[in-house]
Amino acid sequence: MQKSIADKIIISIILVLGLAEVAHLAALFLHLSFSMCAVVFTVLLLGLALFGIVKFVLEHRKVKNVKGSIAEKTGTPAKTLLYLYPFWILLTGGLIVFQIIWNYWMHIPYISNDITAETVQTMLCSDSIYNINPLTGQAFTAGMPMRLKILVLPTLCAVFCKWTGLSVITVCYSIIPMIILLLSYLVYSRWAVYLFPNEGRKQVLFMFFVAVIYQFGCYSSVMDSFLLFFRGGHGETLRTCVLLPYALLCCLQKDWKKAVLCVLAEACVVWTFYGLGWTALTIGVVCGISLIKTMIDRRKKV
Amino acid sequence: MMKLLESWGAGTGSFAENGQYLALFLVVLLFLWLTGKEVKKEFVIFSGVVALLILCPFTAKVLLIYQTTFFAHETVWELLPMTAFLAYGAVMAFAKMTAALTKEDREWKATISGKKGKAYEALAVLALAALLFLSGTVSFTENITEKAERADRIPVEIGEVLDLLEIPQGETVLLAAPDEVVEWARLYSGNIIMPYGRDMDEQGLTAYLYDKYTSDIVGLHDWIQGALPAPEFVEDAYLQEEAYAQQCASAGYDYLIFTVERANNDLLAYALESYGGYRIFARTDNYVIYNR
Repeated sequence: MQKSIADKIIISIILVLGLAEVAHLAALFLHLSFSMCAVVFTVLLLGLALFGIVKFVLEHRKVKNVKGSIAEKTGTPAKTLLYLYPFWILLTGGLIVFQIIWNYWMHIPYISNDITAETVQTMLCSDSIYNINPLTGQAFTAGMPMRLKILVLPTLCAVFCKWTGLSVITVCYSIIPMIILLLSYLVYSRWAVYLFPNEGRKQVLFMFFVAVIYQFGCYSSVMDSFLLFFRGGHGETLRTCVLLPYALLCCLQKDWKKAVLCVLAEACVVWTFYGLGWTALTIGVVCGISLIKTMIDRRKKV
Repeated sequence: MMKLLESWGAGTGSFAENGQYLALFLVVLLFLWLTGKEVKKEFVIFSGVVALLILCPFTAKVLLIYQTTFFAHETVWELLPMTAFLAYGAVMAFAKMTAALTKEDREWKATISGKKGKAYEALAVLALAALLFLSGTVSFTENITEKAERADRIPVEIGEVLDLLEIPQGETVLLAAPDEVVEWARLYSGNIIMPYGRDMDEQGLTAYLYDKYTSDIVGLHDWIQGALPAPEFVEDAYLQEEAYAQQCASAGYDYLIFTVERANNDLLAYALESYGGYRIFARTDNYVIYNR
């Protein structure tokens, strides 16, 4: 199946997370400063960007050389969809823009049970990674659990703050949640293509309903939209609203490589028992169902 | 057994208390199951299996054990592909509804390119969106957070008092303040250092850190909050204020913030000035800042 732009963006973000984790763990275990960690990450990221550009150019040439090659297309180009269903697309787009402005720019951040922003602030001010208690600013006496120290999102946010000069609150409670929300919509755009191949109208409506469910389904702390709107910068949100649905989609499409990437990404952003998080379990359940189905089919044949 | 059921009940309750998306999920499951060949069977089976695993208390417990029982019961709901499944159900329902509407309308085929078809579609989408709205909520945001009035999105009264602190570039200041100020101080500036953080007041945060507070620091927190038990005699009350004022001075706290109600205590003001060397630095409508 041809990779869509949405797929490429999601995989790129997962790879960026992986690179950030490498830089973060290197800094953590080699006791490097935060600045050094940022440099290592920047170098790795530039390497990835270079690799991406080279790959893109080579693929582009290949496609040009193979005359008449028609890749399997199940999605409808976005421009065509916009031309055919402008009302629904604009309505969905408007709803997404409203969600971003309302939740990430117009309200006081919901900081309960969250120390991400303080951790980022501390990394930037102390130029160290997890040597200072983020809640008091004093040196740790007993430290913090290793299961939290290995998670990469705070370091990634801190690097982003360092690059852009934006405030910690803006990055942790506006920019990163916004990116995760948009990634989530990208994932569901792939779902739309999978569930309704070559049915543009249904794809557009699916996305509209996803936006509506996010908007009205924010009634409990376990709902996807609660995580997106109030805990947008959390690893848990990235897992629940991006990695899990994407991994499930990849499993249903038998694209196991991408599903495994999601498992690894989850281990970088949420504490899992040696990578055995929800994403791995999702893959397990899908495999289990397939296995049972195969066995039943075989019995029927016999 | 009872513990298991209680934990399961609390976890399920948190999902079904204020909205009906779980019920809607089960209705969609049934609807898609009955719809037959048109649906993506694998997805429907997966959703059904996961719902079963979560709704059964024993398998839900197994899922929690799989997650090393580190996370609360609520987290198992993350496994359920709620958003994708509800949206899928809505679109399939839309297809069925428009098909049913057009079937009944005999003139439909003659006017298929007309506005009537679009009106039917809009009606179906509106009905489904209304169902999602009625099963969910619009007011949750207002219950847990407020509109931001400052550009930095810090609550106004807290931002006002933190704005008054003089923090030299690249240097740190030591601050002891009430919980509501402490909550935002480290977000406001990483150069503010405090004897206790948000975890003093917010028990959920203690899971993130191994550091524990000494009784001295807990006492200081209660003194700042005005939560220490009031001594019976005025002399004892004075000695108490004096002891904490001296503790602050010897620890080198640059700023002490009190609520206006707490700062109205004459004994406190006297002890701070006489034994701590603190003077009133600034005031806002809600807080008084002392420094030395």
